[in-house]
Amino acid sequence: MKKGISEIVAILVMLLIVSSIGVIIYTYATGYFSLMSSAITERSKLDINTIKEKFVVVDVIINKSNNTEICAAVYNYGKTSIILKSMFINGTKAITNEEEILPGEFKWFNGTINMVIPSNTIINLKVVSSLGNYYETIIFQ
Amino acid sequence: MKQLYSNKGVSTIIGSMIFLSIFILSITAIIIWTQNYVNYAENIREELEFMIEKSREDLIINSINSSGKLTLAINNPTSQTIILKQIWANHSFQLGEWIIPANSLVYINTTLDYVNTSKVVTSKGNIFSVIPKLEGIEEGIVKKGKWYVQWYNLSARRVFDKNIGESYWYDLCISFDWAPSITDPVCGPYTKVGFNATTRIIALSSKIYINWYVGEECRIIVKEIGYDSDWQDNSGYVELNVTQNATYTITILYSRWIGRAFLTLNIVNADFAT
Repeated sequence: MKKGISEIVAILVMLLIVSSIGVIIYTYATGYFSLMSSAITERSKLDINTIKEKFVVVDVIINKSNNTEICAAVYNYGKTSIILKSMFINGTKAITNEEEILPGEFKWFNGTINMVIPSNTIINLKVVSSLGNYYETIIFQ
Repeated sequence: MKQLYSNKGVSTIIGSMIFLSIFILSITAIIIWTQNYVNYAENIREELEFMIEKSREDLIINSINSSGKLTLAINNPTSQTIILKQIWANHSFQLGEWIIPANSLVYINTTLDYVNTSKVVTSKGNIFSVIPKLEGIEEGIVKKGKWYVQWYNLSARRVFDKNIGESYWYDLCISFDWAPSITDPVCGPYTKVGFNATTRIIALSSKIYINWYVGEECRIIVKEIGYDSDWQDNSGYVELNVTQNATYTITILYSRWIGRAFLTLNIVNADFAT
């Protein structure tokens, strides 16, 4: 009788241990797979948005006083909205405000640098979006 | 023993369920990953298609001064419809949607003031510069593999007054000589004639040479590189720096008023674009 009880207890304990380990593995696997799936989905979405983002600088106005202000007309010809983050003028980061442009629209994106660019020089203008895409153009003053 | 077997059955069921759950989870995850990659690949394919369509867009645009306002004569030589979204004149712009059907010529009257430097932006993000129309001359229409020639009666030297017809030349080199002192009509009833010949050429080298021997005058314009020889008489040549395998639009203007009418014009390192 004693033997029988200990056998049942041992089986129950074994069941408990195996079930616990199984539940732990299951919980870990669930967390791992859901985390991986959402990460890959997010990454995929980001990659798709990045390749779908399309914009072009169609016109540029340069204003000079104590500093140089560049107004770039940016046209979004893609199917997703873009957020313009920064502007580089001859490699120098300009002071800008974030600008969102809807598909098919264009907006003026302004940047200022604290230096005066001499006349008759070439300006290298680079406009960068929040997803890291950029459009680079050369302006002859 | 029966109880022992029964317990073994329970743990087998529990183990199998856990295994099956994890298996289903992993399969689900694999399906999700695969679907994401399929979506990504599909988007890349769409983008590549878009880029190909974008690179096929081409327009030949002349600006016309219509009582101080800008009018555009837009020739679409491609086989696809092009949609214009913006017209820029200096730093002023007009927004809209203008459809330019394939292989057609469309005139657009704008509300913008006429300026020499203007441009248009297409729905696919291409920007095309506009060149001013030469006074008194119809804009050249480009045909593949031949010269498209528009003939004019001159009201004065170099003044292309009345369009009297059109023809084609199938040789890239132009050569004619209408006798030393022609008084008979050279083109219908007209003796004072000029023409505007346009074609598309492909550069076979990084340098193109154009030489001419003309009586009375000719003028050579290469649109893409902004070359304009102005009116030339007698003989001469020009060396143009171009991009190999790139396509260029070339226009030859010829004016014969009273002198001997002849022209030999050769284009070296080029062929008709097809």
